[in-house]
Amino acid sequence: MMKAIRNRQGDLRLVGMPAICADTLIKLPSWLEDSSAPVRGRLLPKGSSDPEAEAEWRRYAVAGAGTPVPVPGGDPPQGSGDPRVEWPSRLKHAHPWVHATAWLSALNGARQALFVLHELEPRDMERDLDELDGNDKDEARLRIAVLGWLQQLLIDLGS
Amino acid sequence: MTYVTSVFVKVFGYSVARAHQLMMEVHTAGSSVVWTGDREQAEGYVLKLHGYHLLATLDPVDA
Repeated sequence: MMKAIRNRQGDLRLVGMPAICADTLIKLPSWLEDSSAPVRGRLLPKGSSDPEAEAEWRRYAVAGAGTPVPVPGGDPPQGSGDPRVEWPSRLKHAHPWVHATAWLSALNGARQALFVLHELEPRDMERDLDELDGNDKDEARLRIAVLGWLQQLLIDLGS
Repeated sequence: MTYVTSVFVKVFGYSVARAHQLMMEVHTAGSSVVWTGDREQAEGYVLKLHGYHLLATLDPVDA
């Protein structure tokens, strides 16, 4: 049974994470960093409806934009807590609460990236998760649901 | 509170009720005018919304 705990410092720990949840978090950076045109287009979208203003937007706003990615693995910054998912032995994830907004953004970015990568349609998302057929689209739907569930968990813990 | 609602509360400082109303407009109509004002400030809001991976564009107000 997964538990979400905030300690006295407000840091978040997820323990007893289901394997699909841990695996989805481990793969999250790969979706955010996907270089395909649909994903880059969705994660760095249009800023203006006016073509001239849009060109200016691309030049000045988007050119320097990066995507803040909480990276599982590697050494965490000193004193910032441990952003790693410990896999597979403990299925535990922890991050400082001050990173919650970045995590919310990253979780949403990964959902959007998966949606366009697998050419999903809004009607696909309305289908029940009990109707999984084991194909790539259904796996993406399941991972999008897992990411959404984690987002909601962070929002609920913060409110 | 949903993700989109929480972002509107954070970015614009709207009440949860106002943010929820805007989120429902987006959900049902596909888009919503979430803020109107000076262009520079609007550009800042668009950047912030993009930072949360929400789609947002700047549109001129019809004179």
